[in-house]
Amino acid sequence: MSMGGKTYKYVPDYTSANLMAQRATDLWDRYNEAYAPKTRELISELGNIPGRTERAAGISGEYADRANADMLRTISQYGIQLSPLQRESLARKMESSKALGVIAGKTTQDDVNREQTEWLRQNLIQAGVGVRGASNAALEAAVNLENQRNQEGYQKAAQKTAKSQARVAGWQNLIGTGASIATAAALS
Amino acid sequence: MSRKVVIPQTEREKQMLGISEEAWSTYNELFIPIEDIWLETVKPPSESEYARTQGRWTAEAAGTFGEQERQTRQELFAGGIGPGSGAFLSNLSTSAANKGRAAGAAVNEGLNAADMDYYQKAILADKFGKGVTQESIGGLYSGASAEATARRIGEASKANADLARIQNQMGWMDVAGTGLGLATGYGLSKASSVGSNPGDLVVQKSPNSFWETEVGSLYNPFSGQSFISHVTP
Repeated sequence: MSMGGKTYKYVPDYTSANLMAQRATDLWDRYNEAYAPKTRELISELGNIPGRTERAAGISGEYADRANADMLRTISQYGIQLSPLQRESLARKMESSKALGVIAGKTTQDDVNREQTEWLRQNLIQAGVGVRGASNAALEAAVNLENQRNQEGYQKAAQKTAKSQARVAGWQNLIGTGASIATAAALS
Repeated sequence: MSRKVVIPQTEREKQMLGISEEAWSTYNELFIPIEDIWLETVKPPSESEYARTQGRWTAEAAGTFGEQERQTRQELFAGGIGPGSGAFLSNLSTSAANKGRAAGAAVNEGLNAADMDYYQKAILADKFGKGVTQESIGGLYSGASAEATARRIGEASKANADLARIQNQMGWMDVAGTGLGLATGYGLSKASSVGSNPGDLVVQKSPNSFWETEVGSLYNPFSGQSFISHVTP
């Protein structure tokens, strides 16, 4: 039997906490692997939007050409013989209608680009707020954990000090009691 | 040598852990694949998708304008305006200009809608992703916080146990001190021939503690044994 008595130690169970920590890490990995690339891709899309104006201009020009070709086909179907003056006038009309179509297409697309860019920026800023919030929440959690650890450290230091001082007091008792009894015995 | 105290998981804890595990497995088996399939579709329209969109809107525009052109020509013919007339030609060219512009606008609108579909989906994906990060951080904090609380309680209880042990040791030190004092006193008194009964002398003169009065008399220092050798520090 030990002269110091028995010491009992509780063995803490971290099964659920460990499981939760593992799951949290898995979820963070999942975000980085599956979701974050989509947001990055979307941000890079912002740079592609201005190029859409050229696409729209090309399509407007292409459909003006198609419509003009249809018209010439119709003229041919009806066997209409155009005079040189009519031919020249029609060609000018076709050119100007195509140019107008291209300009209208570009103007409309510029408006669409502005709207889409604005919409995307607002939504991406909102997404950024979420990422910033995640960062702050994680930091706040770390600060809270750090605080808990520091409190624990202070307590532990105080307890160790108390333990050390108690030991010294014990030895002082031993020596003091021994000395006093010895003195008393010697004096009596 | 310390002894372990173990408090097993309660049935309710086990049930909750079981449900959590089961739901997590279900999520991974059934829903992660769906998320992955959907996420695969979150990407800018490809060239072939643009071409399909363009084809659809072209057909739409051709159908609408083709019908209108037919009706207009019938009205012109009914009004006595023949194919060779200037009015007919003028109508044809105006109609072609309108048709070209409207068809181009319709196709551009269709392509813009395809782009916008992608943007909306990507923003939705970002929202789903945001939920994942919030759950991740919340979970990690809860887990770590619970662990820290348990550790803190553990440290406090260990400190209490340490202090109790030290107090215990101090008790034994008192005993040892008493024994040492008695032995020394005995030696001194014997040397000086002062006092007739050293055991009585010490116990009566210094009845400071339980150990001095009771244990001190149990372990008689006059037996010639050194009491110190029995103390376990």
